[in-house]
Amino acid sequence: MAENLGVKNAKWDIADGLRVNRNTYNSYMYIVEDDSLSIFDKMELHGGEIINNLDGGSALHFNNNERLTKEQYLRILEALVKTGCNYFCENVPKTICNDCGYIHPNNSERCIKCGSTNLDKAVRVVGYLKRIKDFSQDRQHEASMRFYHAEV
Amino acid sequence: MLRYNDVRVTFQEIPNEVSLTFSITGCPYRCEGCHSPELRENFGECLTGEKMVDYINKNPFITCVTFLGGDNDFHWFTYLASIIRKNNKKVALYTGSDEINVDIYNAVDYLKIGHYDKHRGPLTSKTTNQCLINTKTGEDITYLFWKE
Repeated sequence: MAENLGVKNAKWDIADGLRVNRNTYNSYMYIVEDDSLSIFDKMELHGGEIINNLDGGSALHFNNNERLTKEQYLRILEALVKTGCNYFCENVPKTICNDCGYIHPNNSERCIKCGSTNLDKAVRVVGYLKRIKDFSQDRQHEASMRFYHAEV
Repeated sequence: MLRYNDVRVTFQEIPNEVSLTFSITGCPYRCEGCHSPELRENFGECLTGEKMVDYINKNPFITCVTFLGGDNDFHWFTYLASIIRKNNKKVALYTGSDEINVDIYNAVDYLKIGHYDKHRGPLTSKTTNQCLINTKTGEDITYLFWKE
Protein backbone atom coordinates (compact mmCIF):
# COMPACT_ATOMS: atom_id res chain seq x y z
CA MET A 1 0.00 0.00 0.00
CA ALA A 2 1.27 3.45 -0.91
CA GLU A 3 1.05 4.67 2.67
CA ASN A 4 3.82 2.24 3.67
CA LEU A 5 5.68 2.47 0.39
CA GLY A 6 6.43 6.15 1.10
CA VAL A 7 8.58 5.05 4.04
CA LYS A 8 10.20 2.17 2.15
CA ASN A 9 11.07 4.34 -0.85
CA ALA A 10 12.88 6.82 1.37
CA LYS A 11 14.84 3.99 3.02
CA TRP A 12 15.77 2.46 -0.34
CA ASP A 13 16.97 5.83 -1.59
CA ILE A 14 19.11 6.32 1.52
CA ALA A 15 20.58 2.82 1.00
CA ASP A 16 21.37 3.76 -2.61
CA GLY A 17 23.30 6.78 -1.39
CA LEU A 18 20.83 9.36 -2.70
CA ARG A 19 20.19 12.62 -0.91
CA VAL A 20 16.98 12.18 1.11
CA ASN A 21 15.52 15.18 2.89
CA ARG A 22 12.84 13.28 4.80
CA ASN A 23 12.15 9.76 5.94
CA THR A 24 8.65 9.55 4.44
CA TYR A 25 7.62 10.35 0.89
CA ASN A 26 4.19 11.50 -0.27
CA SER A 27 2.53 11.36 -3.66
CA TYR A 28 2.02 15.12 -3.48
CA MET A 29 3.49 17.62 -5.95
CA TYR A 30 4.04 19.97 -3.02
CA ILE A 31 5.76 19.68 0.35
CA VAL A 32 3.23 18.55 2.95
CA GLU A 33 4.01 21.32 5.44
CA ASP A 34 4.00 24.10 2.83
CA ASP A 35 1.59 26.85 3.88
CA SER A 36 2.29 29.27 1.05
CA LEU A 37 0.37 27.59 -1.78
CA SER A 38 -3.36 28.07 -2.21
CA ILE A 39 -5.60 25.17 -3.14
CA PHE A 40 -5.67 26.60 -6.67
CA ASP A 41 -1.86 26.66 -6.88
CA LYS A 42 -1.94 23.00 -5.88
CA MET A 43 -4.47 22.27 -8.63
CA GLU A 44 -2.05 23.74 -11.17
CA LEU A 45 0.69 21.45 -9.82
CA HIS A 46 -1.64 18.47 -10.21
CA GLY A 47 -3.23 19.91 -13.36
CA GLY A 48 -3.31 18.88 -17.00
CA GLU A 49 0.03 20.40 -17.99
CA ILE A 50 1.85 18.14 -15.57
CA ILE A 51 -0.23 15.01 -15.06
CA ASN A 52 -0.65 14.41 -18.80
CA ASN A 53 3.07 13.64 -18.78
CA LEU A 54 2.86 11.09 -15.96
CA ASP A 55 2.26 7.36 -16.36
CA GLY A 56 0.63 6.91 -12.94
CA GLY A 57 -2.08 8.44 -10.82
CA SER A 58 -1.44 11.70 -9.06
CA ALA A 59 -4.17 12.59 -6.60
CA LEU A 60 -4.29 16.15 -5.37
CA HIS A 61 -4.74 15.98 -1.60
CA PHE A 62 -6.60 19.02 -0.35
CA ASN A 63 -5.92 18.94 3.38
CA ASN A 64 -8.55 21.20 4.82
CA ASN A 65 -9.30 21.98 8.43
CA GLU A 66 -13.04 22.42 7.96
CA ARG A 67 -15.64 21.29 5.50
CA LEU A 68 -16.67 23.88 2.96
CA THR A 69 -20.14 24.96 1.86
CA LYS A 70 -21.94 23.78 -1.27
CA GLU A 71 -21.19 27.05 -3.09
CA GLN A 72 -17.50 26.76 -2.24
CA TYR A 73 -17.33 23.13 -3.39
CA LEU A 74 -18.93 24.13 -6.69
CA ARG A 75 -16.17 26.71 -7.16
CA ILE A 76 -13.56 24.04 -6.37
CA LEU A 77 -15.09 21.71 -8.97
CA GLU A 78 -15.08 24.47 -11.59
CA ALA A 79 -11.39 25.16 -10.89
CA LEU A 80 -10.56 21.44 -11.09
CA VAL A 81 -12.12 21.27 -14.55
CA LYS A 82 -10.34 24.40 -15.76
CA THR A 83 -6.93 23.34 -14.47
CA GLY A 84 -7.33 19.81 -15.83
CA CYS A 85 -6.86 18.24 -12.42
CA ASN A 86 -8.78 14.99 -12.77
CA TYR A 87 -7.87 13.20 -9.56
CA PHE A 88 -8.69 14.98 -6.35
CA CYS A 89 -9.44 14.18 -2.76
CA GLU A 90 -10.24 16.40 0.16
CA ASN A 91 -9.26 15.41 3.65
CA VAL A 92 -10.89 17.07 6.64
CA PRO A 93 -9.78 15.58 9.98
CA LYS A 94 -12.64 13.61 11.52
CA THR A 95 -13.18 13.50 15.26
CA ILE A 96 -13.81 10.09 16.85
CA CYS A 97 -15.11 10.06 20.43
CA ASN A 98 -13.55 7.23 22.43
CA ASP A 99 -16.27 7.48 25.09
CA CYS A 100 -19.55 7.44 23.17
CA GLY A 101 -18.20 6.30 19.80
CA TYR A 102 -19.65 9.18 17.79
CA ILE A 103 -17.73 10.08 14.65
CA HIS A 104 -18.03 13.76 13.79
CA PRO A 105 -17.20 14.47 10.14
CA ASN A 106 -15.33 17.63 11.08
CA ASN A 107 -12.45 18.77 13.25
CA SER A 108 -13.62 19.62 16.76
CA GLU A 109 -12.05 20.05 20.18
CA ARG A 110 -14.74 18.13 22.06
CA CYS A 111 -17.35 15.53 21.19
CA ILE A 112 -20.45 17.34 19.94
CA LYS A 113 -22.67 14.53 21.32
CA CYS A 114 -21.34 13.88 24.83
CA GLY A 115 -18.78 16.67 25.38
CA SER A 116 -15.88 14.29 25.97
CA THR A 117 -12.34 15.37 25.19
CA ASN A 118 -11.16 11.75 24.95
CA LEU A 119 -10.89 11.98 21.19
CA ASP A 120 -8.91 10.64 18.28
CA LYS A 121 -8.45 12.34 14.94
CA ALA A 122 -8.89 10.25 11.83
CA VAL A 123 -8.37 10.88 8.15
CA ARG A 124 -9.35 9.03 5.03
CA VAL A 125 -6.68 6.72 3.69
CA VAL A 126 -7.46 4.88 0.43
CA GLY A 127 -11.18 5.09 1.07
CA TYR A 128 -11.25 4.15 4.75
CA LEU A 129 -11.17 6.23 7.90
CA LYS A 130 -8.04 5.56 9.89
CA ARG A 131 -7.00 6.91 13.26
CA ILE A 132 -3.80 8.91 12.93
CA LYS A 133 -2.44 7.23 16.07
CA ASP A 134 -2.64 3.90 14.20
CA PHE A 135 -0.34 5.14 11.42
CA SER A 136 3.24 3.86 11.42
CA GLN A 137 5.64 6.00 13.49
CA ASP A 138 7.22 7.55 10.40
CA ARG A 139 3.85 8.26 8.82
CA GLN A 140 2.52 9.76 12.07
CA HIS A 141 5.46 12.12 12.10
CA GLU A 142 4.76 13.11 8.50
CA ALA A 143 1.03 13.47 9.26
CA SER A 144 1.80 15.87 12.10
CA MET A 145 3.66 18.11 9.66
CA ARG A 146 0.83 18.35 7.13
CA PHE A 147 -0.54 21.81 6.55
CA TYR A 148 -4.33 22.05 6.73
CA HIS A 149 -5.95 25.04 5.10
CA ALA A 150 -7.70 26.99 7.84
CA GLU A 151 -9.03 30.40 8.73
CA VAL A 152 -6.48 33.20 9.09
CA MET B 1 -2.28 53.90 1.90
CA LEU B 2 -2.79 50.48 3.44
CA ARG B 3 -0.11 47.91 4.19
CA TYR B 4 -0.44 44.14 4.53
CA ASN B 5 1.67 41.37 5.95
CA ASP B 6 -0.17 38.31 4.66
CA VAL B 7 -2.41 37.26 1.79
CA ARG B 8 -3.96 33.83 1.22
CA VAL B 9 -7.00 32.04 -0.18
CA THR B 10 -9.46 31.25 2.62
CA PHE B 11 -12.91 29.73 2.97
CA GLN B 12 -13.91 30.42 6.57
CA GLU B 13 -14.06 34.20 6.86
CA ILE B 14 -16.96 34.80 4.45
CA PRO B 15 -19.51 31.96 4.20
CA ASN B 16 -20.15 30.58 0.71
CA GLU B 17 -17.39 32.71 -0.85
CA VAL B 18 -13.83 31.83 -1.87
CA SER B 19 -11.83 34.72 -0.50
CA LEU B 20 -8.46 36.17 -1.22
CA THR B 21 -7.81 37.45 2.28
CA PHE B 22 -5.41 40.26 3.17
CA SER B 23 -4.22 40.87 6.73
CA ILE B 24 -3.99 44.66 6.87
CA THR B 25 -1.60 46.22 9.38
CA GLY B 26 -1.96 49.43 11.39
CA CYS B 27 -5.17 48.40 13.15
CA PRO B 28 -6.38 51.39 15.21
CA TYR B 29 -8.44 49.24 17.60
CA ARG B 30 -7.11 47.81 20.85
CA CYS B 31 -9.46 44.98 21.66
CA GLU B 32 -8.43 43.04 24.74
CA GLY B 33 -7.60 39.44 23.82
CA CYS B 34 -7.14 40.27 20.11
CA HIS B 35 -6.13 37.16 18.15
CA SER B 36 -3.59 39.02 16.01
CA PRO B 37 -2.20 41.96 18.03
CA GLU B 38 0.85 42.12 15.74
CA LEU B 39 -1.40 43.83 13.17
CA ARG B 40 -1.54 46.94 15.39
CA GLU B 41 1.88 48.01 14.06
CA ASN B 42 1.97 49.72 10.69
CA PHE B 43 4.29 47.52 8.64
CA GLY B 44 4.42 45.35 5.53
CA GLU B 45 4.22 46.08 1.84
CA CYS B 46 2.01 48.86 0.49
CA LEU B 47 -1.19 47.54 -1.09
CA THR B 48 -1.38 49.52 -4.29
CA GLY B 49 -4.13 49.36 -6.91
CA GLU B 50 -1.71 47.77 -9.39
CA LYS B 51 -0.79 45.09 -6.89
CA MET B 52 -4.46 44.38 -6.22
CA VAL B 53 -5.19 43.91 -9.93
CA ASP B 54 -2.16 41.63 -10.16
CA TYR B 55 -3.39 39.48 -7.26
CA ILE B 56 -6.87 39.20 -8.78
CA ASN B 57 -5.45 38.19 -12.17
CA LYS B 58 -3.29 35.54 -10.53
CA ASN B 59 -6.24 34.13 -8.56
CA PRO B 60 -9.06 33.81 -11.10
CA PHE B 61 -11.06 31.30 -9.02
CA ILE B 62 -11.70 33.56 -6.05
CA THR B 63 -15.12 35.16 -5.67
CA CYS B 64 -14.31 37.81 -3.08
CA VAL B 65 -11.45 39.91 -1.75
CA THR B 66 -11.57 40.04 2.04
CA PHE B 67 -9.78 42.62 4.17
CA LEU B 68 -8.99 41.82 7.78
CA GLY B 69 -8.75 45.47 8.80
CA GLY B 70 -8.38 48.40 6.45
CA ASP B 71 -10.63 51.15 7.68
CA ASN B 72 -7.62 52.99 9.18
CA ASP B 73 -7.36 54.64 5.74
CA PHE B 74 -10.91 54.42 4.47
CA HIS B 75 -10.25 56.60 1.41
CA TRP B 76 -7.64 54.10 0.29
CA PHE B 77 -9.91 51.23 1.23
CA THR B 78 -12.80 52.51 -0.89
CA TYR B 79 -10.37 53.13 -3.77
CA LEU B 80 -9.20 49.50 -3.62
CA ALA B 81 -12.79 48.29 -3.23
CA SER B 82 -13.81 50.08 -6.45
CA ILE B 83 -10.92 48.42 -8.31
CA ILE B 84 -11.96 45.00 -7.01
CA ARG B 85 -15.57 45.49 -8.08
CA LYS B 86 -14.45 46.61 -11.54
CA ASN B 87 -12.72 43.23 -11.74
CA ASN B 88 -16.01 41.48 -10.94
CA LYS B 89 -15.09 40.29 -7.46
CA LYS B 90 -16.96 40.96 -4.25
CA VAL B 91 -15.45 42.93 -1.37
CA ALA B 92 -15.56 42.10 2.33
CA LEU B 93 -14.24 44.00 5.32
CA TYR B 94 -13.64 42.84 8.88
CA THR B 95 -13.51 45.92 11.09
CA GLY B 96 -13.26 46.21 14.86
CA SER B 97 -15.44 49.32 14.75
CA ASP B 98 -18.83 49.24 16.48
CA GLU B 99 -20.24 51.82 14.12
CA ILE B 100 -21.08 51.63 10.44
CA ASN B 101 -19.49 54.15 8.08
CA VAL B 102 -21.92 54.72 5.20
CA ASP B 103 -19.17 55.10 2.56
CA ILE B 104 -17.61 51.82 3.62
CA TYR B 105 -20.98 50.08 3.82
CA ASN B 106 -21.69 51.07 0.22
CA ALA B 107 -18.21 50.00 -0.92
CA VAL B 108 -18.47 46.39 0.31
CA ASP B 109 -20.60 43.30 -0.18
CA TYR B 110 -19.96 41.94 3.31
CA LEU B 111 -19.19 43.90 6.45
CA LYS B 112 -18.16 42.41 9.77
CA ILE B 113 -18.48 44.93 12.56
CA GLY B 114 -17.87 44.91 16.29
CA HIS B 115 -14.82 44.99 18.53
CA TYR B 116 -13.63 41.70 19.99
CA ASP B 117 -15.15 41.08 23.40
CA LYS B 118 -13.36 38.16 25.02
CA HIS B 119 -16.38 37.42 27.21
CA ARG B 120 -18.75 37.17 24.26
CA GLY B 121 -16.41 35.56 21.76
CA PRO B 122 -15.89 35.76 17.99
CA LEU B 123 -18.42 35.32 15.18
CA THR B 124 -18.46 31.56 15.72
CA SER B 125 -19.77 32.03 19.26
CA LYS B 126 -23.55 32.35 19.68
CA THR B 127 -23.01 34.98 22.41
CA THR B 128 -20.90 37.22 20.16
CA ASN B 129 -21.42 40.98 19.95
CA GLN B 130 -19.97 41.00 16.43
CA CYS B 131 -22.00 40.51 13.28
CA LEU B 132 -21.48 39.87 9.59
CA ILE B 133 -23.84 41.77 7.32
CA ASN B 134 -24.63 41.05 3.69
CA THR B 135 -24.88 44.67 2.51
CA LYS B 136 -26.88 43.76 -0.62
CA THR B 137 -29.77 42.40 1.42
CA GLY B 138 -29.03 44.09 4.73
CA GLU B 139 -29.28 40.66 6.36
CA ASP B 140 -27.27 39.75 9.44
CA ILE B 141 -25.71 36.43 8.35
CA THR B 142 -23.71 35.75 11.51
CA TYR B 143 -25.84 32.64 12.10
CA LEU B 144 -24.02 30.95 9.19
CA PHE B 145 -20.99 30.61 11.48
CA TRP B 146 -22.94 28.71 14.11
CA LYS B 147 -22.37 25.08 13.24
CA GLU B 148 -23.15 22.19 15.49
